[in-house]
Amino acid sequence: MAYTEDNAENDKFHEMKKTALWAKIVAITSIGTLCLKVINDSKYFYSGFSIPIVFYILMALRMIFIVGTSCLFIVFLFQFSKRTKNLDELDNPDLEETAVNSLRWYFSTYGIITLIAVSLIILSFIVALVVGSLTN
Amino acid sequence: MESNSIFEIQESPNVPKFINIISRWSRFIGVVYWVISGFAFCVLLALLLNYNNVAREFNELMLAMSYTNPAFGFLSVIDFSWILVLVFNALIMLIIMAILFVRISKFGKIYGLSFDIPSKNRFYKNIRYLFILFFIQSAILVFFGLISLFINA
Repeated sequence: MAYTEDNAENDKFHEMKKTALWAKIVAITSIGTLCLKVINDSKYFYSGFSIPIVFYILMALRMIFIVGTSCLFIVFLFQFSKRTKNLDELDNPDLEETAVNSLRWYFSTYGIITLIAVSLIILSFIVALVVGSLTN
Repeated sequence: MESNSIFEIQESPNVPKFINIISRWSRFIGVVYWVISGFAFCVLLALLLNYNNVAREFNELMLAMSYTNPAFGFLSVIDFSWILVLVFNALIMLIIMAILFVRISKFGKIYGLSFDIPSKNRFYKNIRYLFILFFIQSAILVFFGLISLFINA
């Protein structure tokens, strides 16, 4: 059988659709993980331990960061999944563009978060080294 | 006569551009994950070399952490050997993720240069494998989250 334009297009969208299905599954499980994380972390506030106020502020900031980034990931994954669903309309190449755009935002956010995490790790190493050398 | 060539498929000019951006971020994340994998391997090796000493100290520390931080409630019911298994699992996951990110970057770059459809398929296939891995990680996190929810409740 010759590899026609239709075959190529069907193949391409077939892989994309399978990816979109897993994107939806990941988004749904991420909601569950996020809810459990928020419930478990919020136990801090009702635990009755005497923790300095600065730790509460740090924890609240951490919680805001986790919830914010997770929500962004979930939104991009759902967007990708939804936009890929309508890809059978081959006459409109913009549909693929919008779907790939969601994926681009997902990877960009992931990359920026990785960059922030790496910067924080390096910064904490430097701070630990400086504090260690000063106390000795 | 109408052409059936796969090279004449109508495509938005922004799609290769977006795939290139994904490819560049994937390369960065892949490299970072390889470096973290190297550190995790060193940590695992150090733990294995001083197993008895570290295990004693660690069991006490984990018990203390389970009481002071309710989010780590599950630590009160697990042993140090579990931590080793978790670190080993994390290492394997990191290596697989690093490989997948590098492959996403590679096939995305090939597609960006040559508009090669099989490369695009492989690009999406690797993203799918990454999502399957994320699903497994989420399932593990839900499992430990549920344990923490009921311990020290």
